[in-house]
Amino acid sequence: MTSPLLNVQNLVTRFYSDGAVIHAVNDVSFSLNAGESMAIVGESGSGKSVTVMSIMRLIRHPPGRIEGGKVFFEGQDLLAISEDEMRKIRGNRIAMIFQDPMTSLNPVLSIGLQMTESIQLHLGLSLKEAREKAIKMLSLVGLPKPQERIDDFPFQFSGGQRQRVMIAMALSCNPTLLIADEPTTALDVTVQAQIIELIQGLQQKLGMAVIWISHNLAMVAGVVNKVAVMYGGHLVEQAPVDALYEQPRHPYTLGLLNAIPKLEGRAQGRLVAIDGMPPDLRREPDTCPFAPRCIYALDKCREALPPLTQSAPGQLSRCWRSDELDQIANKVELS
Amino acid sequence: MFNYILRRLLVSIPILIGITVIVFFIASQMPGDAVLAMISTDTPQAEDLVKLRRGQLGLDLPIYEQYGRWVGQLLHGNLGFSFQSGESVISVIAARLPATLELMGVALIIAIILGVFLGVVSALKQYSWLDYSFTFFGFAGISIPDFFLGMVLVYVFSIELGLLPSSGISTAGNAFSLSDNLRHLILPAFALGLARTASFMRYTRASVLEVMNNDYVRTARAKGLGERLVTTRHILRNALIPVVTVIGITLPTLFGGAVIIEVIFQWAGIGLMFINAVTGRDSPVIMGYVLLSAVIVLASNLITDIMYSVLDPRIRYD
Ligand SMILES: Nc1ncnc2c1ncn2[C@@H]1O[C@H](COP(=O)(O)OP(=O)(O)OP(=O)(O)O)[C@@H](O)[C@H]1O
Ligand SMILES: [Mg+2]
Repeated sequence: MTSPLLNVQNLVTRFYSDGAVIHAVNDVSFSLNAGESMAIVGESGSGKSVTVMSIMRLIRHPPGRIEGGKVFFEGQDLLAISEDEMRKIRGNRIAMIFQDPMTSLNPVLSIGLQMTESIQLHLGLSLKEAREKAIKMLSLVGLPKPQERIDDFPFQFSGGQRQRVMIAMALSCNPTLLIADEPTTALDVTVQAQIIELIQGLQQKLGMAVIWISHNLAMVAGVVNKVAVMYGGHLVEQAPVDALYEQPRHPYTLGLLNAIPKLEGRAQGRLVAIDGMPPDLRREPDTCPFAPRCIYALDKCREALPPLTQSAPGQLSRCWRSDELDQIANKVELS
Repeated sequence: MFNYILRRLLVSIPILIGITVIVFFIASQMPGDAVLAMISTDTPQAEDLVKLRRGQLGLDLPIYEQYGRWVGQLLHGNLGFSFQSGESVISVIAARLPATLELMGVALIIAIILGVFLGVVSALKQYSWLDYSFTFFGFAGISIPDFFLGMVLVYVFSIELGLLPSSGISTAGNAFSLSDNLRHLILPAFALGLARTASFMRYTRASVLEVMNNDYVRTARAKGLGERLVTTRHILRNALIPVVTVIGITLPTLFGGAVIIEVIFQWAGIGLMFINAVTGRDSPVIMGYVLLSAVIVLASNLITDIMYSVLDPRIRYD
């Protein structure tokens, strides 16, 4: 078996602010093969962005710090290499696109300059060659008349076009891994589908692996092989999409699935919101983070953090009751 | 852009007229006049002399008529003649302006270079001891008045250390030399520049801190750019836009501040000329100075706007 493209092991990232410790990412592990796509889902503040920013080593210190774990990428531990070496990987082997294309592009620089600066840096091309490459990328992402528009500034594009520019920029150095941090959240509903389709199409064409971050499970379910669910800084469940839909092994995942209205194949299908408040990340991460909101919680759940265990082939979950969840959930459903 | 500048220039005309009207009438309300300032009224013949001289200078006319005459001259490109020396106001200003521009220019360069540099360092090293000491220096610089700083500088560097001359634009009696002139310039230029340094530093720091947290800075890092490129191209380019405005707004206060500094250091510029003119009730010279200040204020606003649009494409393309 070949080693995975990305292998995150026991990643821990904390923020120190106003004397408090924020446990943003606790002991998160997952792996991704070349060309594969996965989703990281979870509610706002669950640590999705901090996880991928840690992989990119873009956590600013202060206030944040990666305090443990390993991030193997193409066989190399990214947390162990020098900043200079890391810089050669960022934007080159691993590229990233962000949530808000309005603010993610520099407003005072032309998109041409913003694209060519990294192309020149990573591919060692001349400015002229870099411009040609940029124009090629812009037409690849479906931006009309790229030769004429390359010297335009971000404010001269619509939101959807800007996200296309971001995608062109990210893919211009042929990364093997693309991280898309909620790439459609800030866009119109009609544009969202186009952008998702675009990334998916480019993935097939260029063969890179993609990590999709979203708080909308239904939106990414159709485009990924597997899903990692995060809650309160923990990875609570990881499974192939089908298995996750078929038999979720964590009550939070179950809640997420129930929150999706009219899901095909799930008879109950009604919209269920999860009661309660999101967890306080300042608490010590030594009990189940979901216990206070979990209708199946036992005393044990409030005393010890369950380990991430394999409950089915390829399916991992962090719940003391993962094996019996199916039965007890049905019972609650019937009563 | 060209239309915009033209529109701005046209709008400035009524503003200039308004300013001159107001200042002309205020100046006429000052106690005493140019004649009384020159002629002692102790002697018996004085009264006739005063009358005669007032007649010659037109000071016996109603104030609106005096203003009318002044504007009439102005339209012919003539700012009148000094009551005190009889020289044309334009030539007096032309003789004095270079010294003031030299003082202002060097003070401004000191303020921009030091202020922007310290502000950037302060922001990049936020909460370090460097940042704290710059912040302390900044507040001190903002709170200390120019003239006081000027006197402190004179005390330390001329009187105590004897390093630098304390007054004049060059050593009296010697032939003018640039190096001598620059030695005389150091203290007044720092006195005038340091307060602005402090304010530029505060603005730069705040602006850099704000820009640093923008998403596009994160994008730049995510592209693998080095810190130097991230700072210069992505942070500073954006952070300096508001600082340019502050610098533009500061120009008029620099012109005003130069008056006090010129008096303290006997720097023979236009500010010193103005103070002498006020003492002598020399209204043509006063009016000349006022007109020049008004033009400087309007010009700096216009220059600021142009700079702004050069730096910010969102405005350029409007
Ligand atoms: N710069 C920071 N300083 C302090 N705390 C931070 C910082 N960045 C993130 N955090 C903490 O980390 C937690 C996780 O944040 P993260 O951005 O990863 O959430 P997310 O899952 O991406 O949410 P969203 O869906 O809203 O993007 C947040 O709740 C926040 O408390
Ligand atoms: Mg996020």
